[in-house]
Amino acid sequence: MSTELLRAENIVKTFGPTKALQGVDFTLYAGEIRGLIGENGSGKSTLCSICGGIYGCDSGELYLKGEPYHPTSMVDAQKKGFAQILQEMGTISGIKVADNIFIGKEKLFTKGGFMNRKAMYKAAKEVLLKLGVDDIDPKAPIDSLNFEDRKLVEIARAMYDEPTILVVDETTTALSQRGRDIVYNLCNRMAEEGKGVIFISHDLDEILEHCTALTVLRDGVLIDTLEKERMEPELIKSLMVGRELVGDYYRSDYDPSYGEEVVLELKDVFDGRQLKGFSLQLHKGEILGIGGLSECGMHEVGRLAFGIEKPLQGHVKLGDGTEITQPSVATKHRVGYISKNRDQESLMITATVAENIELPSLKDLSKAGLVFSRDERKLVEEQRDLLSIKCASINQSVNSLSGGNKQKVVFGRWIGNKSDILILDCPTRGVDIGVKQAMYQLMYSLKKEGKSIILISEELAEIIGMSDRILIMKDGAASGEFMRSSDISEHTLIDYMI
Amino acid sequence: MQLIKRNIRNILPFVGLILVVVVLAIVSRGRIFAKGNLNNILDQSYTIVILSIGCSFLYAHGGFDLAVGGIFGLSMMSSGMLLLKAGFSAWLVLPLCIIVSIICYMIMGVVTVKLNLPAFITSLCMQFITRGIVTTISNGNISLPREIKAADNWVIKVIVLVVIIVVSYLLMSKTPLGKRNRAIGENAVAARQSGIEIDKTRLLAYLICAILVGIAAFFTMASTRMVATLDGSGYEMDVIIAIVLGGMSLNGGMRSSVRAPIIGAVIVVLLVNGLVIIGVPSKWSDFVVGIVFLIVILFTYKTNRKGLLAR
Repeated sequence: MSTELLRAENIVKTFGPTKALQGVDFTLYAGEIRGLIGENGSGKSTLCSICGGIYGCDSGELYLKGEPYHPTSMVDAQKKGFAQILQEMGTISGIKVADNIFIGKEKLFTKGGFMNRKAMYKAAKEVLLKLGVDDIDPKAPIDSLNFEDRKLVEIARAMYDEPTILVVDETTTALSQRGRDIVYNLCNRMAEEGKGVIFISHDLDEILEHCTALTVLRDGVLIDTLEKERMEPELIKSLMVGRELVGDYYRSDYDPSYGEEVVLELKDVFDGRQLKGFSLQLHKGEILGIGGLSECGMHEVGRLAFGIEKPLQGHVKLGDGTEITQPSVATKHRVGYISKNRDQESLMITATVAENIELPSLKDLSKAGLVFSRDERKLVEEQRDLLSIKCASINQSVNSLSGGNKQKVVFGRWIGNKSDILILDCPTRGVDIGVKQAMYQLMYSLKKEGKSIILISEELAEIIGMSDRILIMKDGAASGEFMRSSDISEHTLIDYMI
Repeated sequence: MQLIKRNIRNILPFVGLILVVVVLAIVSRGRIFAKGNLNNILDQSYTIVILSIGCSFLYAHGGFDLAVGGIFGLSMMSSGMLLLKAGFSAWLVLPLCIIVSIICYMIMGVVTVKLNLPAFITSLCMQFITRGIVTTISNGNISLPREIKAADNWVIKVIVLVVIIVVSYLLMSKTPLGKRNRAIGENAVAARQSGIEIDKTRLLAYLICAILVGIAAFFTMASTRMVATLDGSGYEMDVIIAIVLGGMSLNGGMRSSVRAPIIGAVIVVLLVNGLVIIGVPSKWSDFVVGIVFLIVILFTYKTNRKGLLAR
């Protein structure tokens, strides 16, 4: 066995009544890309946050290269060689790319109170080039960059310190193939240099392809660490959920079936940005998958179809001819939408489960102008039981739920409103396998009831697994259309994306 | 104990109210509740309670109202002058007050909502505009005819207040409108994406507020039987403090309630009145009020996870 980089012994961490980690022993060796996998709330991020100095642990010891290691803050951990790239946005807006890379290190370029910006830009360019990024200008304001490029800037900032251990925490879900490749290359290079990478992801394929070993966590307990040879998808899934996953993951048939009736139509839609004359028809009982790179315009299609944004030209119409101009019009006609920014755009995060679920259904609920608690409870409890939302009470704030359960709340809102059309923008982002399976099965049963679904996703696997018809988008236009069949693979689709 | 802990935000304003009553009663040796002063307190509370309930509908959706004092003053002055000039029945003043208030609030509401301007700014402008109109149209203070005293009857006033409280409670907490209004304060983007018509809901909140302000203006005229050019000035601040002391976030949201402005308004009136009675020199009273509010707010702030203004 090669040298040990990081050792955590018997780490215990509790948040109030929740036991996030219950005595975890974890060792990372030099030259490893160690995958870390587990359902939401299994303790992956908590473990990394403790190692990264974001918070302390209740008991247990940390060792870095054999020396006792007590990081007091994220900055302190970075100085000691432990860097993290997190899921959320970590760049600071309002300043330039180079300022972001060297934030807190301005002294390096300061002489006599004046900053040598030229030297800073040059250094920033070098850091970016080392990552393999040549198209980001260090002088550009950070806000002119898209999400992906900002993430790359963040990675550059973390890499400038040449850390010995790098944590990649669910970063790749939000990146396109190019961004992912940059991250993978970086991981491989670090491993070759004898450093260590901890790679957190919900994407099993990604982990199987790039990790050299895999640790599975469940409910704050380290279940097992698998060597490359033992990394089997079925084994990993059952280790994660603690039982065999029974039944189908995606739908099992390969029969593209849907009605004749068009229930939603986008015709020659221009939105002034991505979409230039885009058309789409959704049929009754159809699951229409839309895939592409994150900037291809597919998210805009979802927003337009629900009336959040108005097309400059063209129209969005329902089957009965109603033009959708506002989300309120769409909702009234039983259309539901789940935003990819769930916490910001779909949920009222500090409000309760009940308040979130009943929101579009208030009018149906009210009798003589009043909403009675009894009817309220009935609607919400029905959804809670249907979707098995794990909450202590329907009056619990959604803030305290895990990501998967939050997403179930949003689903419950639209099923509670008896939606006939669902527009789902990345509905399984940041959701663990157990909940994912439940959602796929739910979509399938909704389809069978004759509901129509638009499934917009950056995960090709789920689009292939679920859709009756697949639309691949590129630069704001459809670049390929496929009917459901068993011989569509991700590789076929990727060719149409880039 | 667990129950108390969970409901601390709901209980604290009550504790505060009792504390204020007890402390003021002891320090003033009961003088604060002497008959003459008690009348004073009741009259003042009556006005501030109704105004605060009205404004809480605006704060609930994330709005702001700096114009309430000005609109209240303009309602009184314009309808009072019309009464003197035209000499109609005193009871007609009530609909007049409400109409003036609705006109002002609807102008303000439409500008705020349709042009998507911050309510803080539009209501500040409306405050100046209404104050300006009052000083222009009036030649100083006016006295009202005796008949209007007929409305200064505590039986009527209590019935009106109870109706207002019950209706407002139902509107705020139990109707789709109230729930939507609060949802907008909680997260306007999520509210819109749940099919709520943001503009319409916000304008209805302005309408509710306007009606209540009109009613408050009428009963204040009835009890004082005169209108001064400066009537209502500073009330916008009393309302803000009342809402905060009542335990509601100024950002609004789902936890907004009608209870908060009611309790808060009573505390405000008691404090301001009490300081005078216990003999704090008048030149110091603003200073003391400021300090007392600061202390109370720091106290409530800690229990208010969402914060008062931070977002």
